[in-house]
Amino acid sequence: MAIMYALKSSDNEIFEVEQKVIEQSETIKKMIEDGAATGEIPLQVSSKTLAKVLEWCKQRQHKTVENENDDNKGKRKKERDEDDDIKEWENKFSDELKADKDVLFDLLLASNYLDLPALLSFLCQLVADMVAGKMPEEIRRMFNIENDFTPEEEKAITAEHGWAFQP
Amino acid sequence: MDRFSDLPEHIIHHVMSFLPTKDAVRTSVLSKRFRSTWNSFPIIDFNQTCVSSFLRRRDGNVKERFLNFLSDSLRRRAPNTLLKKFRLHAFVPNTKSDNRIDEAINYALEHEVKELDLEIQARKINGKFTYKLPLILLPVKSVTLFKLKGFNLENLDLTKFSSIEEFRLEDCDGLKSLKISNPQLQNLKINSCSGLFQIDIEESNLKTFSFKGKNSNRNDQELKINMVGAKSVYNLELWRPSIGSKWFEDYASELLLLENLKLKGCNTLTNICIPSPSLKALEICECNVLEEIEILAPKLESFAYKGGSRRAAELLISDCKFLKNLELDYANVTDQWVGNNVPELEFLENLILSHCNMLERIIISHEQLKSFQLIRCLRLEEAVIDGRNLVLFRYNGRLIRSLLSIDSPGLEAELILQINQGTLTNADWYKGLRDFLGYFDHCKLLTINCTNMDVKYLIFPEYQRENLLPPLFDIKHLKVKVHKLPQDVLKLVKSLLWLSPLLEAISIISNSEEKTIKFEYAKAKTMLAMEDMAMNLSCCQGRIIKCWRHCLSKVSMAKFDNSENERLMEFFRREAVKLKTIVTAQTPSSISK
Repeated sequence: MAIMYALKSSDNEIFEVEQKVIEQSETIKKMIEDGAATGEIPLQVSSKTLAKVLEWCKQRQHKTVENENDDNKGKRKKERDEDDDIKEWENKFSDELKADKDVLFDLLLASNYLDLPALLSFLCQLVADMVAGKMPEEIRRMFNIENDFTPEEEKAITAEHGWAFQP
Repeated sequence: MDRFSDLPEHIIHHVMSFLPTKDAVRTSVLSKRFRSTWNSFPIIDFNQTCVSSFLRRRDGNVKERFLNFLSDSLRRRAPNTLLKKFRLHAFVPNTKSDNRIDEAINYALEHEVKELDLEIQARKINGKFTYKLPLILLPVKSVTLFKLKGFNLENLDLTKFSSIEEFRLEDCDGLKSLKISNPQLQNLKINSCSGLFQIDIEESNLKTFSFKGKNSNRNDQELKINMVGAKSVYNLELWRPSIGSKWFEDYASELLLLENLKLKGCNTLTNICIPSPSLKALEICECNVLEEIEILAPKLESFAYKGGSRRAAELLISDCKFLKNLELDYANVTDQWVGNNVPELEFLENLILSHCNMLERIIISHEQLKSFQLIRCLRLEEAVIDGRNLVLFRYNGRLIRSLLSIDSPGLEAELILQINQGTLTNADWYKGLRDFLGYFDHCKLLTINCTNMDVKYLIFPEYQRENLLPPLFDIKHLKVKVHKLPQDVLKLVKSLLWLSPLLEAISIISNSEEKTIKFEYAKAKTMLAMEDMAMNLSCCQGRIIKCWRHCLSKVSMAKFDNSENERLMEFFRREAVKLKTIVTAQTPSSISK
């Protein structure tokens, strides 16, 4: 039987999760090891975000378990198919986040707080992909960033790095 | 504030680390928050190639402007921010030093940079790089990765770098000897540093050591590599080192953990004995004066020998019982060598013999062998191959007399045909080809690669077809690779259907485009003579197995162009008496007869 833990979100929802899945989070792993996790583990993460985090963790867990169980026979083709499946899953996951940036940023903060390096990197890469190749005005619009420079200041900064602002 | 700007600074830095430098720089103009985040970004990447096309458009000297830009940028940075990576690739005027560069390097060191990557591009003076690495006075504890390219290294003192794990030198001058006494060092790469004649590895945790010498110069002084402090090495790669045979005696046997060894262009090495208890992969390339290689490595799994053209070495491998992959190119092996050694290698799975020009008649009988390639062994006249587990066979060369006896249902064979040199008549060629192809009748898939010759040599003329028996009755799938499609694809298809009269699929591949025809048959492929007469078929008289004309019921074609489709359809309709359906990639068309 897999050991289960109960996670409590900041809005008091309980999530029952297998130990293996949740131990990807260094923060929670440490709480368990320190013995602080008797009963429910309280987390500063909303239920909506926590559900998303767990979705990611389960997918990752799934991936590593399957790789361990593989024998060599026909592995190549299987791996290729699996890679395709994971790619597809990740693409869907990314698309949802791109569409709802609030969830994206909640998730970024949660992955930081829970110490999930793989998820944090994945999300940072996702944001980087959204930013890459765009001019400042487009980036500001995409993330509602307020330009608090005076036109003179902006001109001066652009001049410093003129080369980077060539399309 | 917006959610992006609201993120902790280290997360924004993490995002920026995934951006190309140009995009990362652009974030500095988004807002004051991003401006300050940029100024504390722990990765600094100054690459003049990125910037120069822009700088060139303005007045003044590009090199000068870049160096000014470098100092200005560093001056603007937030104080007391530590650096993870510092990369500087600069073109410099022909000076031995430049304050702006030296200051930038010092800046990186003062800010405890972990990865330091410096590349100077300057014109050589008297064939040497002259830009001097600044003298580093204080110990450098932070640097773990250090890359240098294009420097004069007179001032280098590696012992100052007490935490270094990876050190790479490329195209550097001014270093006569290098002393390694860095207990953390795991990875050392030295590439084309002329004048370097002595490397003393006194203390290290070295796992990978790669040395590439300059293009060999005959009067090169012999290189001394002392590996006393490199006992933990498991990857060793030596390209063009002027080391002698004695070096091997002195050091190679001491490297008990060595797993991968590559020797390339060692032109001073005449004899080597490689006693190595852990060695798994060995590659010896273009070591022109090698006379004898003795490998005493019981765990060796892969051995590749690629001889230079000058001389070929004697190979003693009888100790390598567990060899799985053996590749010999321009090797001095004889028929007898193959006969003696290959059967002893019980675990051999992949064998490549290429340009082994002493081979004339080889017999290979091996239970485990999965893949065998026989490439351009010019004097080969006969090869008998018996391998029941063989799944891949590639042959490149002339037509030879006798080739295969394979009892392997899964075999895929590829034949790269070469036109015989000399005075070969057409009739001889076609007869020879017919006999040669006949050896491959029981393969799962046969690929005939004609990219080295005119495809007309695969198209059997009508009179040849009448006089010869088709060689490939058993083959189901035939692939033909051509350099250029013949003008008349139908001719090729006719010839292939003669070669192999009961095919299920033909693929014709040119320029990675694959045209296919698939065939389905009506019923048993034997027929009564009476039936033939009734259908006016004159072919296959007196034969038990009849050709496709008698029983083909459906043809599916893909990727042919319209005119090819029409010609092929017309041909099949005329010749195949029982044909009901032709499907082309676009539209299926039914035939009423």
